[in-house]
Amino acid sequence: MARTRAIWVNRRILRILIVRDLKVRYSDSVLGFAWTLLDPLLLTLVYWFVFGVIVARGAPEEQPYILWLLTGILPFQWTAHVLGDSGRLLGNDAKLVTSSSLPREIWVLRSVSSRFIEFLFTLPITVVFVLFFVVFTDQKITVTWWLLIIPLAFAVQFLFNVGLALTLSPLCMLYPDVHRIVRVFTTLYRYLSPVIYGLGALTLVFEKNGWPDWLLWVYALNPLAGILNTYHAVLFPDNTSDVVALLALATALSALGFVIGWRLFRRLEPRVLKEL
Amino acid sequence: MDASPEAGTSDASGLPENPPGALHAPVAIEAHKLGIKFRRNRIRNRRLSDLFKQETGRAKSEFWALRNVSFQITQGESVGIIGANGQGKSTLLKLVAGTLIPDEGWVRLVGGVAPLVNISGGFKADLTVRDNLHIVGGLHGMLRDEVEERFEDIINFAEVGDFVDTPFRHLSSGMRTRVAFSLITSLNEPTVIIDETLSVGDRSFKRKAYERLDTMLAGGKTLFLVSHSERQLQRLCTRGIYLRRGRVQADGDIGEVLAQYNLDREMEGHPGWKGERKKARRERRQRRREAERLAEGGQLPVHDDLDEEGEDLPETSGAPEVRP
Repeated sequence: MARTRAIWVNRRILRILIVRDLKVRYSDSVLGFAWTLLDPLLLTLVYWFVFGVIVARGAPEEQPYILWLLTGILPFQWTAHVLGDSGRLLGNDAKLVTSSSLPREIWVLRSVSSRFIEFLFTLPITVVFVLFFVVFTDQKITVTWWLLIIPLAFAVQFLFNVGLALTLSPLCMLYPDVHRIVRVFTTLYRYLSPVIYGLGALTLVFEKNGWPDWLLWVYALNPLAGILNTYHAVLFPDNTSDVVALLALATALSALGFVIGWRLFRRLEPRVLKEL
Repeated sequence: MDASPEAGTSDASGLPENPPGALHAPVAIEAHKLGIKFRRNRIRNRRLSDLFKQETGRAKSEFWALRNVSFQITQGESVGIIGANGQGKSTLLKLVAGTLIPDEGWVRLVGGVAPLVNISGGFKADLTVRDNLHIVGGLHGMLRDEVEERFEDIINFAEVGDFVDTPFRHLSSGMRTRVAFSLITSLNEPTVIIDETLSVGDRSFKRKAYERLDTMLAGGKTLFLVSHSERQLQRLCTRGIYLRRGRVQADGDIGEVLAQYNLDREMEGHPGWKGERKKARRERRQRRREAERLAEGGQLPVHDDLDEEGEDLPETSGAPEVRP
């Protein structure tokens, strides 16, 4: 409890750190802020070309496919970046971490928050594409009421990301192998989460092959399944699964992950500080 | 945050370690049976099962860098930590600054602390001096207005007036330390912690730095200093704590403690002590070789005594470094 208060007291410093992160990230490159948009955009285009054009995922409920990809990739990149940061977020700024006695959770919150803001900056891409399809094509785009639940999905994903970073950042410092595993896993994770395909399509595949239903629930133990499913539901209600139930499950699991991460972080903190 | 006396310290006898008179003075830093241990081997051969164990077993690969260290420092005192290399001085400093967490005991700090320990740590190379000052000042608890208010002073003191909007990485290393020193000493914290590695620029700036420290001391700040330099200690401190093998060997008047420390050093450095003799011989040989090399090149050996404070020497510093 005292710890939570200490973090709250230092929220101003957290804000300064986030601002610094954003400043540093864009101060040095010619394109600056544009990279925030270009990065996920280029990634989406590559995925679109590979999976939309070459593989030609044909499910009509996923059209226009580029919009489908955007609603999945943008939020997934948030978690992917947090995973990428977690290996370094204590080590990279070791000098900064060891030059102050701030509650060390601040460094985790800072990474997750600044990546969140970056993610928010990328959301206009989706808006632009939606407008494009509405204005220039006769493709039918419907924005459902699930839009209202999006802030909740943000909150759940934030909690999930904090739990991940709290767990992984000290482990990465103490066991360098963990960092490598995380890197490989992030790639894998992209395909294990409903990014390029939807849960609706996945359910159909399960039915077609006669795979047991419980396996689908095992799949849903990944909080991102429920979270991304919610984002998808805004534009593609037909290619999603039970939005409320899955989001509730994701919330519970994220909360559990957060508690585990919080305790692990506290426990490993003295040892991590000795390593810095 | 780290003020909680931990349950792990079982000793409840509570003998008063200070004379009753001292109890009335407000405490600035208090350490109680402080202990921290490190692993001896650099290879991190940890097992996953360690995660679930308390840090007790496998004691062979661990050693206590500090143990049973207790002291009380009252506000306004200036205390120097004395000891040979590897006796736990810097570790103690980090524990006091809160950047390490003790395995035993606790340390309590009243009010904030201005840490002159790797001072340029928080500065980001890509940002301008101005941005950096705001950010690092903020990290150390300064409000935006406070930074604005002291901005001119900080810049002037650091002598970097023309480089306010230059990226930090374009500054020379001397300028960087000056900026950092200037900022940290502008923090309005009651306790100042200084590491021995503090070296701030050329001689004239060094003098300024000492003057500033003097002013801060006169203003009633508490000083906690780690140093090898006897002159620095004599000059800034009134009390000394002598650490030896992670324990407090002596604690008292700086002159007396230094005398004891020197006595111990002499004993250890006695020709009968093998390691020291070998080291001295090696150093002598190295010095001779260096001198020969320089003599061949037609240069005279130069004595670099910048680490010591050269107050009594005339000011001979060259032109201030400028690197656009």
